[in-house]
Amino acid sequence: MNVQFDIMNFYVLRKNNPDTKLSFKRVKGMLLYKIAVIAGTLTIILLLFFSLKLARRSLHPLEILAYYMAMLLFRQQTYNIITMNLRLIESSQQLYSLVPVKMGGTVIFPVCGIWVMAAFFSKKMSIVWKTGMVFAYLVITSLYRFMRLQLGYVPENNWSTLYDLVATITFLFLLFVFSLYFRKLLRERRILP
Amino acid sequence: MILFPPVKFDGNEWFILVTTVVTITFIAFLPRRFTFLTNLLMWMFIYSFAQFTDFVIGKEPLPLYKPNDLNEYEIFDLILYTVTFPAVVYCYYYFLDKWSLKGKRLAIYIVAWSVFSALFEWVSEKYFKVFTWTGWATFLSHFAYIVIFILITIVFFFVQKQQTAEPQ
Repeated sequence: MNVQFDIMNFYVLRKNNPDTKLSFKRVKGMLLYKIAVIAGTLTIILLLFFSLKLARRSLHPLEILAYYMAMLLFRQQTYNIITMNLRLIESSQQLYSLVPVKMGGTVIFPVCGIWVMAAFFSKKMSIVWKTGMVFAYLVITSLYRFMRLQLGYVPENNWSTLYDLVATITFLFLLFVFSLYFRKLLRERRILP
Repeated sequence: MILFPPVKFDGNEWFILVTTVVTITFIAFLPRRFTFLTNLLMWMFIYSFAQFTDFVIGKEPLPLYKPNDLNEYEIFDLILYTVTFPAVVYCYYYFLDKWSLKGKRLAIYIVAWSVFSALFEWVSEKYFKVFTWTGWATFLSHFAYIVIFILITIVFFFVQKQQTAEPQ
């Protein structure tokens, strides 16, 4: 049975496929599931954005903006090539999965990257907390990938957990290098003391 | 392949190159107005935003249009995101800042730029095939550009304001 249908076509589908076990209850359930996935993702995204307020304790607003865009660029550039050109990860064919797949990756990775940078440049946090934040970043991004795989949104062909971990660590390293350069720029402009 | 070359070096590639060269030449004659920090942040914003938009509504599962020749990521897509779009947007925020636009004048300026951009995009689609629309339309571009220019204006004012603020 094709699960890619919408509620509007339900009666047409059932008429054309009399032997199918489609029921209105099931179609309604699927629709509610899709709405729940989108609503859940949007809630997580909003919460993550609000969490950026905490990062302002150790980062300048321009740093938050710059690190967000830098992380977004590193990830987008890499994953667009991996997905579109190298075909190591398949593009999602499900329209409703666009929100969790695209928005999740666009928000979760950059915001987590900012948390790590905020922890790293914090004067109050100990080295243990800073290391803990790096692990938290790795755990959250791995969980996001695991969830994406479990829900079957983006099938992977020749992509593995190890590759993904290496890519995630590389993004963080690049962000760290960029943050050192960016903070130097801010000091030159006397924006940072 | 990491980045695909053009299938055929024709109208769309020439259009991108000529637009880029003309815009950059125009910018080169403008007096220097912004700090490197402003330009860097605005460049990053345009690059990430354009790429994000094209890969959300220009690719599967919502392919409303196709930039350039292929469905894959091309070298000329990258040139569009990294050079052409940021150069055009530089002209936008240059005059926005020069004329110190606010209120109604700013609203007219944004609408004027969105009309100009939508028309420019229509020419690039109709005669040069920089875009191939598969569910998109010019009037949608017009509204999209209004939103885009509002966002650019917000980010630009934010960046300028933060640079003049007292150090933390």
